[in-house]
Amino acid sequence: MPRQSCALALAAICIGSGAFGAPMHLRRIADGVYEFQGAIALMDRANSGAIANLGVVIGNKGSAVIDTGGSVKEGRELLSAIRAISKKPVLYVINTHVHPDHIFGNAAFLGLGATFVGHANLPRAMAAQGPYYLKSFLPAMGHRLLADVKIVPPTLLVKDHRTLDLGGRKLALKTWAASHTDTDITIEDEKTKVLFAGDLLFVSHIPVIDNSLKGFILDTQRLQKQDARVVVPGHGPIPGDWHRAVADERHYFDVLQADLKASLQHGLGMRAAVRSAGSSQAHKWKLFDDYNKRNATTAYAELEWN
Amino acid sequence: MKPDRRHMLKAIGQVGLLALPSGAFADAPVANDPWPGLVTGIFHDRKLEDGAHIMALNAPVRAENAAIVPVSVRLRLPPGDQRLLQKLWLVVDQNPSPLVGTFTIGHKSGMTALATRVRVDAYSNVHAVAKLSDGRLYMVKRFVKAAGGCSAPMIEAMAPGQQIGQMRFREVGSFTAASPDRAEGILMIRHPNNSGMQMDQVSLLYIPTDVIERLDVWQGDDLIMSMDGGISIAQNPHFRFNYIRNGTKLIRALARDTKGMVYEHDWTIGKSST
Repeated sequence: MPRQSCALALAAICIGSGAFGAPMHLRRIADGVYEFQGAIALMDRANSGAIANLGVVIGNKGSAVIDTGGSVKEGRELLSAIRAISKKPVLYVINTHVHPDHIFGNAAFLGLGATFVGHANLPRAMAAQGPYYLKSFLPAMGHRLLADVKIVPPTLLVKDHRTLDLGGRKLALKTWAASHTDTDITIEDEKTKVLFAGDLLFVSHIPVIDNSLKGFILDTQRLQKQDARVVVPGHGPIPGDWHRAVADERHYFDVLQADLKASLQHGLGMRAAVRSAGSSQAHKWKLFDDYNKRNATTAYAELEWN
Repeated sequence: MKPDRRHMLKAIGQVGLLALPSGAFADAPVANDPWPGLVTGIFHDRKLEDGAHIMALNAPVRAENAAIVPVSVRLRLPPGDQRLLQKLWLVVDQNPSPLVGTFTIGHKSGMTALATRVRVDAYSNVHAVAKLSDGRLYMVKRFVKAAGGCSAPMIEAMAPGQQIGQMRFREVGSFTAASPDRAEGILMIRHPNNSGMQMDQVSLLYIPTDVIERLDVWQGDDLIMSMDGGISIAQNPHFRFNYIRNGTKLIRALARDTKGMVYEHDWTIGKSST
């Protein structure tokens, strides 16, 4: 066990370097396109909330930031890293959805003249959820990390589609069916065909269903049809074969749905049903025990009205 | 439709998130215990006997989703004990409105088990108190780790075609194979059951309380149970209960919410319907 702990600790330092005060490592994944890969973990003091993947796309006029991380500390580290690679202004701060690991860093980008961008539902969801998130994450994150978090809603809203011009390159933003949340958007850099899928794609990290299993299944179908060369997931490493990664995610949803439907058919109650639903997939996903039953609970309440 | 219809549709037209990523809550002790005050307020300081030997309260130690926490109560009387369940109270001590519901059991219903889903707003004891036909009150409790259930926005928007007050009932087979006269049924009601603590995501005003405050379920002309409920019953109220078949083939349910809307439905036993 001690040996394993050491390996884990090392991995944490390499992957989640932002959490340790070192400059955030932005990895170049295509011309002018960068990614930070968050740790596959729950948000806590030790990782400063740096668990989500973040992106940066740099054009001739300036850059766009895709998600800001789980704390203002992480947001500032992202900003420093951007400044180290580009002197151009940050034009847009895009939030892929409402979850705290993607929006708590927003305040680091205030006062720079950047426009905040998000799903048309995002301002409402932030208003409703923001205070609840701040209160609820206090025990895990602590006052020091959360004190300067501000819930900054987007002023540029995406309904269906929107294009952002960064100068010499355009970002295509799209909305999706209510699935992971009801605020999800994806961002594609048209020039390099890198698609930032936000939390519509999970790799290695168990997919999290916060709104609708059926919607998520629809979204995986639509994702498969995207014309992308590289897909950056919201959590976990960039997959070598993204179609296969989407299929893996879809498989988890299919198993969960089939298990729950069988339980419902047999009159199994919620508690009993969520105890076993999806459990055959446990070995395939990290953080399975943290999220699977919650996913099953959400999906059960949805499917029982079928 | 009634005048409040539009408002209600607006209220449920929004989509909210469920809850937080797991593990967001560290262990924390229950704040000052409200139970003694609740015993006075709800039970007028009547003696509550330990019910551990005659009933079981089932609730998760840690709720997966604080806005839909499944709880169930089951009577476990020793063989030959003829006492009947007359009334059942469910209490989530730390909720802003702790009394989840008062369930009055019909004389002939023979109900011994009831399950529903509640909101849990903070780490809390959940109490179930049963009044048996011996006139005495029996109490059991469970501690549940969950938080934010009363203010968590509603789980899902209602899709087009889904209507407030839509009801479903289905039998889920005989209660036990040994006693085919016993049945178990699930009653579901589409209703936002707004707690009054959820924020309207457009106006940023709190959505007024709008909950199912009364529910009656009959088998033919025999009452199975009545519920007087409050804001701690989860969205889309859900009840699972057993009863003794009385030979009629009709289940009827009548629900009334705090806006005065009345929803009524009946089903022929043996097939599920909407």
